Amino acid sequence: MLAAVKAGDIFEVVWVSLVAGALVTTAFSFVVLGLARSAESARHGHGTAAALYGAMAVVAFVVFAATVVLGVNIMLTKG
Amino acid sequence: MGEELVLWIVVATALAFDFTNGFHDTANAVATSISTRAMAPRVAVGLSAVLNFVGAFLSLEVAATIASGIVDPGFVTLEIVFAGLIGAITWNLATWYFGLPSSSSHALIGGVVGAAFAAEGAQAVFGDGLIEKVMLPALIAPILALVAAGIAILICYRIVGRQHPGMVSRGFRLGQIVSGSLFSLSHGTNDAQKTMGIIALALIASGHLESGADPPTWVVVSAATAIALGTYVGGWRIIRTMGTRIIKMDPAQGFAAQSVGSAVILSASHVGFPLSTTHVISGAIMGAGAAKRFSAVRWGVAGNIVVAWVLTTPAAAVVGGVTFGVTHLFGDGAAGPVIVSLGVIAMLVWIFGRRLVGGRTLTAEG
Repeated sequence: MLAAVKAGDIFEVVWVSLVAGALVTTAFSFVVLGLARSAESARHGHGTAAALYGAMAVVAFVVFAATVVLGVNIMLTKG
Repeated sequence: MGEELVLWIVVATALAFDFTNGFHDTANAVATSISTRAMAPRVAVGLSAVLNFVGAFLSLEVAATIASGIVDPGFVTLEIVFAGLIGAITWNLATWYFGLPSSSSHALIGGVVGAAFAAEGAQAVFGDGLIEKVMLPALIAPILALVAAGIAILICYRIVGRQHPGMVSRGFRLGQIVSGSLFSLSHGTNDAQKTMGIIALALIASGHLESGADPPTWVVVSAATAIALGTYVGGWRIIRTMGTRIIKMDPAQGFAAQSVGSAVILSASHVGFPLSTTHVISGAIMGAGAAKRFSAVRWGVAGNIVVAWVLTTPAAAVVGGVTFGVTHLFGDGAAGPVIVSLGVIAMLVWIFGRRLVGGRTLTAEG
């Protein structure tokens, strides 16, 4: 029955969607968390904590941006 | 000469369908961004239109998929394609009028199936193809998006739940500019190709293109332009339904719904699995709402949307079949498509002319 669209393709769509959706949301949530905590720490004069949370936000943003680039790359390289 | 005229009528009708596709599906990409105030309405539809245009050039895989496997290509004539498009356009406009998001792809497939059935009977329709490309995706897309968005928003709330709400909202509004853009781009790669596929089908049926060949460049450019223009005009009734009537959305939910929607559309598009972007984003919005609080989703509105989804293919099929019957009354030449086209245009002018003269038009300003 599943000739044109194979069952394996459907399984791939399901797991990639679940993993990618969770990954991109998690990464951006850490960006927001890092920025919020960094700003709060800076306000309270905790320079080291502010820098560490800022670094966490940067790393999370790199992961988020990489996921977006991967998405665009999928569009560019398919079919 | 007669067949050439019919071909050009079919191409024009396909581009009109593509316009209604963009118009109808603007909400998929922008409703969440507008309702959470991540972007101003006109900016959101303008950006979405540009990205839909760009997205249409990025892949031809879905175009190849939708043009085959549902109706027997040996039976497909220009009249069948024309009648199918009229069925799809009619359903798109009807659901837009009632503010219901529904799948333009399923309307298109339904219209063509109905017309093929009216012309040649059950032998022209592949039942397996309908299951693979309509029923299965219609079941998988919303459920997958609902579950994925539910998981995503729970993770998100777990991470940022104790932070200052103002800071969190500002952060996710910025994120929505990226997630909304990615969704628009993926919508372009997915939906503009359906029109390319149907024009390719007409070109194959009239002997202007070999079966299995990619659509010509002029088809790609015109389909991209039509969907971008439709997107820019914007179907504000559906934007309102998706943006505010299913759930009252916060920016984190909007971001999660768009990100998960993009992930689902991109992964499906990658393997040439024709998912409906409408089903995906509607499911994602419901999932993002239900995971926060089950009663946050207005299930009555969600139920109406699901009823529209169930009716889409059969209703478009009935209109497609009736249109084929009417077209066929005037013989095999160009007379039928010409008369039906003029009739449809006259009806649209009558309906929308009355709205413009006597009624309030729905715009970005509401």
